[in-house]
Amino acid sequence: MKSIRLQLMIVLACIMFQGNVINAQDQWEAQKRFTGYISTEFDYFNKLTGYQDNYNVNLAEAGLLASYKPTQDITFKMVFVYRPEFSIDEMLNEANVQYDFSEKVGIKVGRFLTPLSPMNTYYYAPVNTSSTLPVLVSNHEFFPLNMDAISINGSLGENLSLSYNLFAGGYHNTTWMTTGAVGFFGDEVAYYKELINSTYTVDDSYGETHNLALGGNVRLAYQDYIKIGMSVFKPKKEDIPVYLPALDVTQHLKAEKITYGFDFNFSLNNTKLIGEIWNSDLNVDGKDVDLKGSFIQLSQSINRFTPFVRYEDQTTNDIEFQRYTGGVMFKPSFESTLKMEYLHYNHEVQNIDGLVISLIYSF
Amino acid sequence: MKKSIVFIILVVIITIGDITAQSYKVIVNNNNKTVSISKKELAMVFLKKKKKWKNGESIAPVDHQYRAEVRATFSEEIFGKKVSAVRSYWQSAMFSGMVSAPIEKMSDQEIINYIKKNKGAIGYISSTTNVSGVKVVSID
Repeated sequence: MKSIRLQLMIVLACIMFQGNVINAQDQWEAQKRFTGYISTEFDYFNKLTGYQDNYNVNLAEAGLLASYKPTQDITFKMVFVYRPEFSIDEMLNEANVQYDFSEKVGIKVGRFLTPLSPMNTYYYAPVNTSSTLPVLVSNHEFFPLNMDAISINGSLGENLSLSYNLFAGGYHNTTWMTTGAVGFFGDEVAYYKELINSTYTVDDSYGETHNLALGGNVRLAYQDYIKIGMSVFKPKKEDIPVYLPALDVTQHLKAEKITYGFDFNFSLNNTKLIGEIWNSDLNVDGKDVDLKGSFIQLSQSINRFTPFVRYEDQTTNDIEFQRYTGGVMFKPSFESTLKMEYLHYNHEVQNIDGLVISLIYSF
Repeated sequence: MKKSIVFIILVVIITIGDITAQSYKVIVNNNNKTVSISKKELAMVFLKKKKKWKNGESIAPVDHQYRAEVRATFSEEIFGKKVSAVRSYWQSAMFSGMVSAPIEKMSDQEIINYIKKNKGAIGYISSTTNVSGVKVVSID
């Protein structure tokens, strides 16, 4: 094991020191960037049992990004996103520094979005075509939203490129954190578990726990036309607080998980097809638990309009549902974006229809 | 006869349109050996998808600030998009942790000064601006 580590370190050192030195500017000028957005959202669902309202309007997100590049090879980045009922710690999405030894190798330290699913790195409202994130991202069952960690990353090649990102560190469990005006997004699995009187569910206190993990991702791309990625995420064994409704007790059970996923992105002119498929080999208290999710999304930009359709399939233990989404994004200017979409949840006990309208102001 | 007149008028309109659109010049450092660049390559350079010159030198694109008239023309011609769409692209790129937008300057003279100082730099300026000290690259 030690010799493998040594070999890896030697290979890494060779890449670092033989890699092309970044030399784009002979006389470097420090760069400061600042951008942000405010997203107001209206959600309506035709039926939701146990919720105070089945429709609402709220300030769904307000994000600020600041970056500072004092030298060619160092970048500081901080992203703070307000979301209703999130703690300050949860709102600090990113705070990191990246040092690039070359274009092939860089090191990032601090808090950053978990660099596995591309959609997870498109977590912010102005970046997405849809108002809603895929369930496999918003539910954070496969991997956490972000990591407090160290990452080694880089890319090789230009037209045909291979990028990689390896990371290890700690994270805050973000499973089933609710978002949206009604607070239903992220809560779907827990909601359906209650509807079917599931024998057990993850206790809310899980959201206050931390863990350690390592993971990695490689992605092969041909220009902007094709991107295909593979990811793996391995958290340390942990105790999960499991709530048993019949007994009204919470037990701590040993859980072990390894998650892996594939993603693709095909783009041609203004048409884009993206998709991801994730699976976790999850074992709780010696029993295997199903955890798999996938989505596929097709969008087409037509001037200022981008209509899209998305299909999702989610299985978490005893809950399996599909979600169909169709909508349009209208972007008349840099500052303003209007998104409208219809959602249909398909579950054997209860189907739910929803409407989401969001208005985003960027600056 | 009428058809010929309509044809001539159309040709004149199209030509005038072309002349109007060529209201900027693409410039590089005097030491840069490049003599011409295609529109597609220019788009890739300014979106930071093409990162190296043929000699291996890193490319450093320099842009005008978003309110500049010359940027509006350049954006429409090279990207086929409005400046607002390109700004949105860069906002997305920043949030999703990809590369950051090219450095921005307030005037043609600032762009010229930047290009003089940086061997790998490329920018564009109004066609009427004096280009001494930098090299003009033709667009294929």
